[in-house]
Amino acid sequence: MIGSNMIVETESEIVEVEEGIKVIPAANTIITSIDKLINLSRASSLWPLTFGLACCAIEMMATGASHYDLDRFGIIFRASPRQADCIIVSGTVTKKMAPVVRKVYDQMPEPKYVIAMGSCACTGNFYKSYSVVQGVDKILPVDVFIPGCPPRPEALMDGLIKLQEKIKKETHRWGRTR
Amino acid sequence: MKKHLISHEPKVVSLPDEKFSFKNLLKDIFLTEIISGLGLTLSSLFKKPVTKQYPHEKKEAKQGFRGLHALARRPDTGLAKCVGCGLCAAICPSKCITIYTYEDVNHDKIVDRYELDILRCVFCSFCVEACPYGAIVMTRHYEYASYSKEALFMTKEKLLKNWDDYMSDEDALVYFKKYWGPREEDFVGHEGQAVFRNNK
Repeated sequence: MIGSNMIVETESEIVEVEEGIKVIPAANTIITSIDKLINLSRASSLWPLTFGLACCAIEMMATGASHYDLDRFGIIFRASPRQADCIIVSGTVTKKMAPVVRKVYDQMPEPKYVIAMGSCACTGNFYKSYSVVQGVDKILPVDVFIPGCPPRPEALMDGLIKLQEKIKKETHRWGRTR
Repeated sequence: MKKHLISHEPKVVSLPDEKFSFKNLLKDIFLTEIISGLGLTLSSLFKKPVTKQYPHEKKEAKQGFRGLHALARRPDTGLAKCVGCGLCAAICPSKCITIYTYEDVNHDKIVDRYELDILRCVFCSFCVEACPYGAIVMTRHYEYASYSKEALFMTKEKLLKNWDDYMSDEDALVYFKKYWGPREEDFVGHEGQAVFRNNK
């Protein structure tokens, strides 16, 4: 039922509301590329793997808790790599742990993203040692580096938002592996 | 033969028998404990939410927070305060500071490059405490996640830019003086040379 005060859209011209998103008001239709749609859904439900290695994990847990609340971004921690989209490497990666990190990463389904959280995961921090991997980027393709020792929960959220922005900019990353 | 001191027999601990009472029976029937627990959950429905809506609502870092580094500018010349003594590089636990200096024609020590690898930094602020001039400071800025490692490798220019961006306003300077205060006020100046602590 159409009320007397309602305006019926008869404009058939295509309006571009945002870059890549067009609207036909008369037909109640939104036109967009499949890239945009897929990227939007990927970015808005980024499920990271619970993978705490050291003290950064405490800050990661704090970020997931109610004061910062990652669920607002659609980020829900998963316990299994099979269900995860992204791995937050939070803490010192020792050489003994490195094969495990790699295995867990390999078990994740495509598309998968890596966040190196904290100085230890980024470069190894002051552990210039025989037993510590000098940066997780030596074994995994890292998307976002978050410095800090440990980073504040806000800094982690900033990194996750930056990852979401990166995902939104991707083109044709579906139907094939990287 | 020695007698075995540890016996492997399990200890039987019996709880004291709870006496039957009419009150306990009512508690079991009406599930009062569950209701009181759910009451607590329900009461939080009317409380103000504790969640900070992060990207829109940012929490100011507490005073004395150790964030991104910056190189202080001299107010008179606008150049870096750093004299290249290398104390910060010496005290740094992760050895992430590298300073390159050279001697110019007037036999002055010129800081050629001041490099700081943020990704290796421990944010202990030892460099700030070691600096006699208050040349290196830590700002309250903490949102600097990056897609590449190169962006977080700080050069002298980048560190000076950090000073302009996060430390130039009045509010930040008050914070800077209070916590990372330039020690030069406690020192006796001696032109062109390192200065010594003034015992006040």
